[in-house]
Amino acid sequence: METDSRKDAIVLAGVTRLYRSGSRLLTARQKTIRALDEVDLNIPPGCIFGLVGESGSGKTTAARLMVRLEKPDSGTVSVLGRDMAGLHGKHLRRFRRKIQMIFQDPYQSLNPYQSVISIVSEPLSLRRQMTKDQRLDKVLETLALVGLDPPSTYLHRYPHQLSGGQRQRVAIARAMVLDPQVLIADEPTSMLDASIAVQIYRLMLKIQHRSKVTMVFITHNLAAANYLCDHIAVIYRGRILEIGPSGSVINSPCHPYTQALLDALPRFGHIWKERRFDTMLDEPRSDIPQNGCVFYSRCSKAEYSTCRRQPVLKSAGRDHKAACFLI
Amino acid sequence: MQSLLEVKDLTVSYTTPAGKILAVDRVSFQLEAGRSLGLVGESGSGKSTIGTAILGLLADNARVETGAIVFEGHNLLEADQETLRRLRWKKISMIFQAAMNALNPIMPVGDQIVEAIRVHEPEVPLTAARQRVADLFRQVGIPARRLRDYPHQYSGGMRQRAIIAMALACNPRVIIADEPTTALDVIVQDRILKTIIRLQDRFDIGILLISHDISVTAEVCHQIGVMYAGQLVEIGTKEEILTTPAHPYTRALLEAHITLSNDRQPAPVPGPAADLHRLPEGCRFHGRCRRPDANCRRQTPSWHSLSATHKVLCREAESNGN
Amino acid sequence: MKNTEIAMTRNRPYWRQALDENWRRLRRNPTGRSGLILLLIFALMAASSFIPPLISPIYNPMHGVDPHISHTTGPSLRHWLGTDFIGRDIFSQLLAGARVAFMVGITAAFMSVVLGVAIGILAGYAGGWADTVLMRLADMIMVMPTLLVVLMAAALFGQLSIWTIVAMIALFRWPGVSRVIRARILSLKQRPFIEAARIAGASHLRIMTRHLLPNVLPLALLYMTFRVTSAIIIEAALAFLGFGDPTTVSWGMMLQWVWKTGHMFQAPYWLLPPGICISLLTLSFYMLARAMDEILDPRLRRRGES
Ligand SMILES: Nc1ncnc2c1ncn2[C@@H]1O[C@H](COP(=O)(O)OP(=O)(O)OP(=O)(O)O)[C@@H](O)[C@H]1O
Ligand SMILES: Nc1ncnc2c1ncn2[C@@H]1O[C@H](COP(=O)(O)OP(=O)(O)OP(=O)(O)O)[C@@H](O)[C@H]1O
Ligand code: SF4
Ligand SMILES: [Mg+2]
Ligand SMILES: [Mg+2]
Repeated sequence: METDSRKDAIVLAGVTRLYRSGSRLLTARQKTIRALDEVDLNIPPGCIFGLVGESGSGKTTAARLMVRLEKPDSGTVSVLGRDMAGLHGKHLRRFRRKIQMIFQDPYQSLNPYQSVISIVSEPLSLRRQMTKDQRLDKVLETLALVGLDPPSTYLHRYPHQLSGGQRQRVAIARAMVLDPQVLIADEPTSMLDASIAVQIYRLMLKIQHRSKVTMVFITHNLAAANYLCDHIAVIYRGRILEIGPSGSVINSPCHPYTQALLDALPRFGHIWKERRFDTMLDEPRSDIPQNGCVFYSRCSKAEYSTCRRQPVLKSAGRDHKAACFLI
Repeated sequence: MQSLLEVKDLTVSYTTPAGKILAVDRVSFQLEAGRSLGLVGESGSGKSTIGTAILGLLADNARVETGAIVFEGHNLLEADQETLRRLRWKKISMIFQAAMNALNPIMPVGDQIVEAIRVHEPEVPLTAARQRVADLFRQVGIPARRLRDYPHQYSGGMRQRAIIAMALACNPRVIIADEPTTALDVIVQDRILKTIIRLQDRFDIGILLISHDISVTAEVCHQIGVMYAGQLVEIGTKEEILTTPAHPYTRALLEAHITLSNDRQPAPVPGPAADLHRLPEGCRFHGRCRRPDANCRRQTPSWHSLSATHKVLCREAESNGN
Repeated sequence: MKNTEIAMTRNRPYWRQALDENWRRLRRNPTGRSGLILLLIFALMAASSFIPPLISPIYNPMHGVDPHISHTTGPSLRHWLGTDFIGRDIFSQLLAGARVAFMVGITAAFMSVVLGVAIGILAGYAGGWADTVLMRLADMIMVMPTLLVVLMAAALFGQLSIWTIVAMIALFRWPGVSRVIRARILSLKQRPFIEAARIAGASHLRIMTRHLLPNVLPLALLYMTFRVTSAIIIEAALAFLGFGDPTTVSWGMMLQWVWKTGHMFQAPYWLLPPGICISLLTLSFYMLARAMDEILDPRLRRRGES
């Protein structure tokens, strides 16, 4: 995306995040995991941006960096033009209201001892200038927005009295009650029924349409990303492998990994009746070059001589880039 | 034709503080050897309860009210605990959703399966058991050199495949897979489903696959049964269910599925999920149905055959003059 | 103001509902029920301890000496359980002892649990050096035998008042509680609802008091029940060894009088009641705690999953 990076809602510049797993009793060796590896990412304001990758690819890590639940080991994360590393204490708390997050598991992300009204009004209660009535109005309005209708019947319920879909709606209401400018949704439907997922997606579209909030939608399902997002970035082992407008990433995927993600979707309702690419090996390769392409070990298209270096993102169409030597 | 597993008129109730609920209400289906049946439906529709009833592992507050579960000519509901215990794993085995977390963390995965075999078939010598496990690992696509690894050295998908290997260890006739891929990513899900398809072709096993995602059952199963509020509301071959769905709920489920194509907008199933404590009169689905008529609110619908394999529990099918 | 009305018509908070629910289960649990019945009897004893002195000053447990009796006597109509070595009524003393036992047990337990919960939450939530320091402190205190320390304090400072004893028990019995609470906080801290609160802008204090505390309260209550038992035993032991508060009549004190005046084997009517009372009261709290443990445990686990 060739946009002015100062205007972008979220900018990751050369972000690396390492996790050190402590020396285990059984393996007795310390491993460093590169959850994110030199990631550059610009997320334009007012769109829904999809971050897609398999489990362990670093999606949640990216989200946690954006809301500053964690700090990068190197590189900078800026949100709405502010470098998140420079924010502390009260300033951080105040700034955070502009960036909210929805978590994967609605059964874990709500305090079992808090009622709906107390969950949704908590972010407001930290705002001194609002009167009690204003707060209550805002809570009711937000509950209606997320489709908990009529709102008053939900106010005094507790999470265990709500279904999974309703809980996720409460979580969305908590995030939206402050009118944030950025909303990050980390696999918001992976714990919900397929038929409930559509409801949540529709709600997200409605909210985005109404408030023009910048949304980051994290998923492993390219079909869901295609349904919701304007732009999609495909991430694998902490690296962005392909990025571009949804239509172009889905209809003309360039990277073998994106192609594998498309192949892996169930055939039912797929635009291609057969597996079209077959780019992922069943058995990973063993002759892995150092500093080679991250996808090398599972890529069926790989050739040792070309792929032993790290490919960089190259243009593959309008606003569309991919990191593979095949392009 | 004698079917491998037949569930007849099964009704299971749970006693809860708020009263008794029928989690499974007069459900009947058959499973043939080498075929697979997918059960779909939203959360709380009673899918897992059927699975646990077949395995004889119902919760303490559950009671089988009516019905029979006939496996190889014997009614499992009349069998004693000892017989059931012997049948489990050996004849009917299971793959649960959280099963991949059920591996013992301090024992190599291969050894755990060897041990499972030797518990159920003490007569098998150790070397034969080891050989069998190595074969199984090849079948489910785990390289034999990983036999000695510990569970934490496996990825989530490999652990789930190891669980499948364990479920196959005693050459069962029936496998009950309850949400075997839920919460796994698409790539791992694809692998697991491919593995299940391959195994079913190879070993003549009957598979009961439970999932809330109709596309998962469409990928694997020959037959699909749709459950709503404890009832089976439609059952038919995969093609029948996907191309000529007859029950409005089945249609709603299919429409709710998110696909890659941009020309079809997914539509959520309207209305709130059924509350088993307060079931409506008449058809249980009428409150959410797109085109209910006055009779749907009053009359309980009855089964209607659309073909030799396709049945539906809806009045609409009647009025269509089938 | 329609909206405010809505906010007013709240049903009971969840912790109240949960408490009611647990209370109902406790009464249905056989162990819990026996514990409760025993406890009720002792509570009645403690509550009625003020009655005998009202009937006649001779029934004052501390100063009420029967003018006709100057030595220990067995049970009679006038003195249901007999009198002690200077003619005080044993039954009245027993009732007063029940009151003291409750007071000591519950206050000491309450104080130690408040301390333990506060420190546990702080250490678990703060982590880092604060955690290390607090937990090392807890370890140090934990290895000190409470009884011995209080004995030494008594030897150093002379007679300790009953409140000093209570305070010392509280001060030395928090580490166990704080360890358990801390462990639970460590796992709660990772739960997304805590992170969600942080993102919503909640301060650390708010997270600790509004989010973490309610989640460990059931556990704290359980530990308080266990602690009552140990506080009662410690106080009794101190008193029996002669380091109790001489101005209060506790069961341990009664035992000490039996022992000191050499009636250990001569006056079972004097020796047995306080002994049995101590055992039964601690037993009842223990049974209660066991029952609570049974009730709370699966719930805590299930809530995490489902
Ligand atoms: N706290 C942690 N300590 C050690 N390693 C971690 C930690 N958090 C994440 N990781 C590792 O970092 C990598 C990226 O993790 P991350 O949670 O970002 O993946 P993800 O894409 O969100 O996956 P999922 O779809 O499973 O949620 C993984 O290999 C994971 O094991
Ligand atoms: N042990 C139990 N006690 C009381 N009610 C139960 C118990 N187990 C299940 N139920 C209820 O029975 C109904 C059916 O549950 P079941 O687990 O079979 O549904 P399911 O279709 O498998 O749903 P899911 O997709 O959520 O797993 C639900 O309403 C559930 O709340
Ligand atoms: S660079 Fe080579 S290994 Fe990497 S994805 Fe492209 S073809 Fe495969
Ligand atoms: Mg994640
Ligand atoms: Mg289930």
